[in-house]
Amino acid sequence: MNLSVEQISTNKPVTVLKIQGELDGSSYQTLIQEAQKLYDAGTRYLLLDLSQMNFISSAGLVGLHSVVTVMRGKEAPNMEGGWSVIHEASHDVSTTPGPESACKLFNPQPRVQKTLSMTGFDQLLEIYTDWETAVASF
Amino acid sequence: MAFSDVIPYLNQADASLFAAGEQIFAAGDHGTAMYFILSGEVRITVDGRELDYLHPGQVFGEMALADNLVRSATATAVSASQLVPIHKQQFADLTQHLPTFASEVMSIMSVRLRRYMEDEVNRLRLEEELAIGQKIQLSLLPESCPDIPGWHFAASYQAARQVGGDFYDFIADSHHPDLLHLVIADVTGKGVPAAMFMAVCRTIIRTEAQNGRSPADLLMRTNQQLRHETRSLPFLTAFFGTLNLKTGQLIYAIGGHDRPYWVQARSGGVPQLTGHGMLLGAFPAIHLEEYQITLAPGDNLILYTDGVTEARCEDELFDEDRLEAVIAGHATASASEMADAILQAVNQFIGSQPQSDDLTLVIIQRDSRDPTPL
Repeated sequence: MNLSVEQISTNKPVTVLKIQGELDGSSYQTLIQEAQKLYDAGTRYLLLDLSQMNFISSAGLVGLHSVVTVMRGKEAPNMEGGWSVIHEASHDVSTTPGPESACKLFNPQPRVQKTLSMTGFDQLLEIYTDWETAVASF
Repeated sequence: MAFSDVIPYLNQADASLFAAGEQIFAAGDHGTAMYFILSGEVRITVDGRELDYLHPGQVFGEMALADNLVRSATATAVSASQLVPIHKQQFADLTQHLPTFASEVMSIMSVRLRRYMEDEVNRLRLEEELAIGQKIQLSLLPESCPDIPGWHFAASYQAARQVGGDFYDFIADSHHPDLLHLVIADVTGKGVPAAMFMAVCRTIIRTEAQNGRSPADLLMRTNQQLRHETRSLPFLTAFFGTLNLKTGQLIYAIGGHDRPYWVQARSGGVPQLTGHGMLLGAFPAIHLEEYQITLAPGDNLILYTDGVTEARCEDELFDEDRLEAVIAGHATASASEMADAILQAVNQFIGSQPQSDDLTLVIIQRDSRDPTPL
């Protein structure tokens, strides 16, 4: 998996984090760390560009879930700290009503889209296929 | 003493040049010399794991001087590297000119040995944890498939070395002998935490099944209970169905799990079951729908986990298309032949690559000679 970051200024300062390759057990922690780094540096509106992400595993879903946690200003789950930490984090994410406003997804590929729909993540996160609309949605 | 102090005493005429990526020696080789790095970088690895990354002025391969045995690690030039070998006699000469050289080398050796041992202990601990997790996991799977007249069942579970967490279950309904509950699920994670979580899920599902809950209600209730279980893993995908053994009616719900295939004997079709729903454990209040089909005599239902469709050959996935083709090609096979055919196709597809996830299959087949009118 490769990550690249781009800053865009429209209505609000949006950070685009492009994920290329596969988001799985070997890479999801890198994504969480990057999200934490961006949040610490001031990012409050994050658009995850999935147009070149060709696979997401269940560990990748944990990663995505954790990015939402981080963007809500919560501590990134520490995998070494035990699963209870992740559980707490996921609790924080899921108990806030309404769709996510700080983190959105752009252009998931069909395979990834299918996984997001199958697992209900498309109801947690707004998904856009048009770039202008995605950027303007924050 | 700086190792640069050593340079004047080295016989630089003996220096060899190694290209980037070239192996200097491999673990198991007989070694007679240690090496001093004049230029370049060298990586030391054991079983592919990096033990050290060395720069000019550093030495490696020192254990060969101490024990004259085979190399314990592999050394590879990362960039073009110029190396001077130091044999036993030269080492003795060097220590005469530079008395602290021997203790410096000894200290390097001790640091590396300690690092290697720590690395080994961690690796063994992880392996042990994974093995314990797998044992727990295996102990939770049914010992055998149900033996019910008019029905044939087959199940197959192939554990992955690193990632695990699949489970399946057949639950006889204690209040209604005509009902059999079917479960297939996949837990996020691996090792002991995943196995323990699986045990929790299994207990919740078994208890709720006996409470007479309908499939959607049962999965939603399981989600709720998992949300209250603070030491839980976050995610579980599951299919739960209640099969009426008399009529073939199956009522089911899906919580973020792959949709099973339904082999229809009469039409020859192999549709995937309709329906989907959110995975369990991640969201506080989920709503799941319930669906219903009727398995006719000769019909098959194939439940599977994503270890099947996401089995890999390099960058390519086995995927649903291949699975569907194998199922369609064995539509009239017995339940166990169907399971074997799918497993064989997946294993053939991945070849010698390590299996990346647990792979679980459950086949439910209604006997084609079942006389019960529908």
